[in-house]
Amino acid sequence: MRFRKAEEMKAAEFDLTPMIDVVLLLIIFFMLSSQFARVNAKQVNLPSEPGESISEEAAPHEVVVDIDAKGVISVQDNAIADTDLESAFRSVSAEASDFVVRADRDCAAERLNLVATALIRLHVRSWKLAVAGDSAAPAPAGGTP
Amino acid sequence: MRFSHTRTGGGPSRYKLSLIALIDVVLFLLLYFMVAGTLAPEEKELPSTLRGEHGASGRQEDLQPQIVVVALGADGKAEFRIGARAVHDKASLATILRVLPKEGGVFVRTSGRVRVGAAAEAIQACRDAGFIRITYVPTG
Repeated sequence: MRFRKAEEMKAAEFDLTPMIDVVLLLIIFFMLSSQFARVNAKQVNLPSEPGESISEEAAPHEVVVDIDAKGVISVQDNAIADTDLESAFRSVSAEASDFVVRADRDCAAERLNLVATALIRLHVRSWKLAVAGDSAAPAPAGGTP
Repeated sequence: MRFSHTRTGGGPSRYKLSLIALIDVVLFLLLYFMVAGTLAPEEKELPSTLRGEHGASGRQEDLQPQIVVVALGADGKAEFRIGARAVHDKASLATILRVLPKEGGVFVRTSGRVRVGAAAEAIQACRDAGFIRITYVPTG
């Protein structure tokens, strides 16, 4: 009976280190990508109201509308001209769409009203105004934009 | 019969716990928590219904809603008007709204001349006062 030599056993050894690296990288990637899906690319200074937590039962199709401090309106991260708002909403929204408006707190409400009016014309009955939650810095007194 | 000899004196390194893997795990956990910490300020939301200035439907409702007007005051700051009363801050608005009947809901009529922050304050004040049916009405 012949047993393997130590050298042969060493050659067959499996190094776990790269596998652990890859697995952890994948975990981090998936955890971060799920966060970024909600945070979105556009940096908007949201109103600092407590609001309510985002429900776990997410709508089947969520349409995110961003309005930055300059009043530029983006639908699903694409800048849209005022005149094309309705058609943009129509093209991205499905029957069970949930509209989330992320508007900069220093932006004129006129821009927000423009989005609201377009949604009303499309018979959208509700929307959600994104706010920063409790931890955000206090907003300045809302006056003339 | 011949057994392979075990290394007892020179090379016990094969049986030592590999520190490289441990360091990798710890560093990745550190990285994860650092990134997760910066993302922690999670967004919240203020849900409301939408309605045009002239009403979306011709249906006459039995219960009359409260109407909060968010408009620009004489001093250039946003003010919240309920009937004849006008206040400048969210807390005062919530105090006034708290004693009003809530069955009919509340309409937040927002002028285009104020900031978005003021509109959000008005909706939040309605929520704080206990209103469930909050309707956003864009005006201009």
